[in-house]
Amino acid sequence: MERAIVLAASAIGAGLAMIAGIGPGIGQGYAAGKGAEAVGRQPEAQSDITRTMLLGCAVAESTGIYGLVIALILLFVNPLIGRL
Amino acid sequence: MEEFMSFISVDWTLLFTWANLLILYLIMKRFLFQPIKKMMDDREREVRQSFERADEAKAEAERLRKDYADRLDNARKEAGELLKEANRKAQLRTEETLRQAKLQAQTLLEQAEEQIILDKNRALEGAKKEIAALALLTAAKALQAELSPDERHRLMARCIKQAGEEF
Amino acid sequence: MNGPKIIFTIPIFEGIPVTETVTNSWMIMGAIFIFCFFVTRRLQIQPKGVQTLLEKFVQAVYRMVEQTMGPDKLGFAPYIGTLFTFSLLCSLSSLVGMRPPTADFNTTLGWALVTFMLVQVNAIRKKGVRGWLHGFIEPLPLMLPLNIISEVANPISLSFRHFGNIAAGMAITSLIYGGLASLTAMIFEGLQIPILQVGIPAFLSIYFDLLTSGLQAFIFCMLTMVFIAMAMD
Repeated sequence: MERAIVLAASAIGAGLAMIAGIGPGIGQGYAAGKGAEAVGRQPEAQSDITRTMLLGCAVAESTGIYGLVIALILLFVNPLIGRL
Repeated sequence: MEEFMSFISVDWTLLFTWANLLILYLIMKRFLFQPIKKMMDDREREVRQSFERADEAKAEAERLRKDYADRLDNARKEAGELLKEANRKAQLRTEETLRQAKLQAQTLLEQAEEQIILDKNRALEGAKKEIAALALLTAAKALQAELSPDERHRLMARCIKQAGEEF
Repeated sequence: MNGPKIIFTIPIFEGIPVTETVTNSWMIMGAIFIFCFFVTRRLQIQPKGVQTLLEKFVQAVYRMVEQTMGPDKLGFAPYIGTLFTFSLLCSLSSLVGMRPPTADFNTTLGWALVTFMLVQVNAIRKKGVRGWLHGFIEPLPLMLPLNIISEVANPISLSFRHFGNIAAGMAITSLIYGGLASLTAMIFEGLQIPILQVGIPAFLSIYFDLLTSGLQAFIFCMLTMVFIAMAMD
């Protein structure tokens, strides 16, 4: 019985942890918009702009990834059952 | 039945990771980065040396060309000066020759004039004597020895003087 | 979704498990060693063939190090090159069916801790112990806990970013394969050969395997270089 509650709570917690995915989505979309604007202003620098944008996006993705890792741990490693 | 480690955990694999990274770093440094970097540096040094040699050869060729051009200029200038000198000398010589010729002609002319005068005087003298003799003869013939010898002389002298004054 | 499989156990200290991660790492190291050894055995002044690619790669690494850290720190280039190659090939090994070694948190944590140690050691070597300690009190003495947390957060964030991307990619790919298998069984009435698995995961693996591996390896190396350069000022 308690095992079921713990498993259910872990699943809900995993779902809630994925709300952290909103942040990188908005931020990287905004960065891509700025990148497109910069390319429109100076098309010769396109490869430089693309590289810088990808660099910034990958660093900003970290917080979203943290949420994903927590969700994966809750789903597959089930750490909270061991504390029953 | 296989066993699985946990999805996320920190365990003995960490030490294996460090050991693997160290070994791979040594392998790649020794077999990839060092030989290729050495070869790239060698190649760059060779290319740079060949460029330097080409630059040196070009500078040398430029210097030689300038040398030849200078020498050509000098030769031309010398030739011009020689020509001018030769012209001047030739002109002087022609002038000199002309002057000499003129002098000679003048001398010849003067000589010829003197000769003419001398000849004229001689001819005059001869003519005078002949005329006097002729006149005397005529007079003697006309007078048929009516003259004494000193009258004859006085007549001859007066005739000559008159003839001489006329001439 | 399971952790790495234990292949064998070294029977000292109560058995040290050697997992898939470690054996896959050994295989990738062996492949790199054989490739490098046979290509650099006879180097020619006019390169041809594979040697051109290797030269381009080495040149790119040196240029990246020079651009990010300055021209006097080219001694770090072999380490950065090793890190980049190892990370890229480990993450790409999921294309040939192996469990990528970087999908194990120990791998990325190990690399991030090496970076952390490099940063601190080079800061001490450059500025001396007093200068390094003084750097923590830099703008205000009040900032000491914040500076310490920021220093400690660097390797944690570095390792988690790399691990999270690759492991999540692995999890999603295996979920999709499992989902397609049961979809086949559902549509074609119990057919055990999962024919729906044929083309669809390939498109996803362009993002999850190729793009993520390359990008994460590049980001890991770039952040390492930036941290070391900033610590040596």
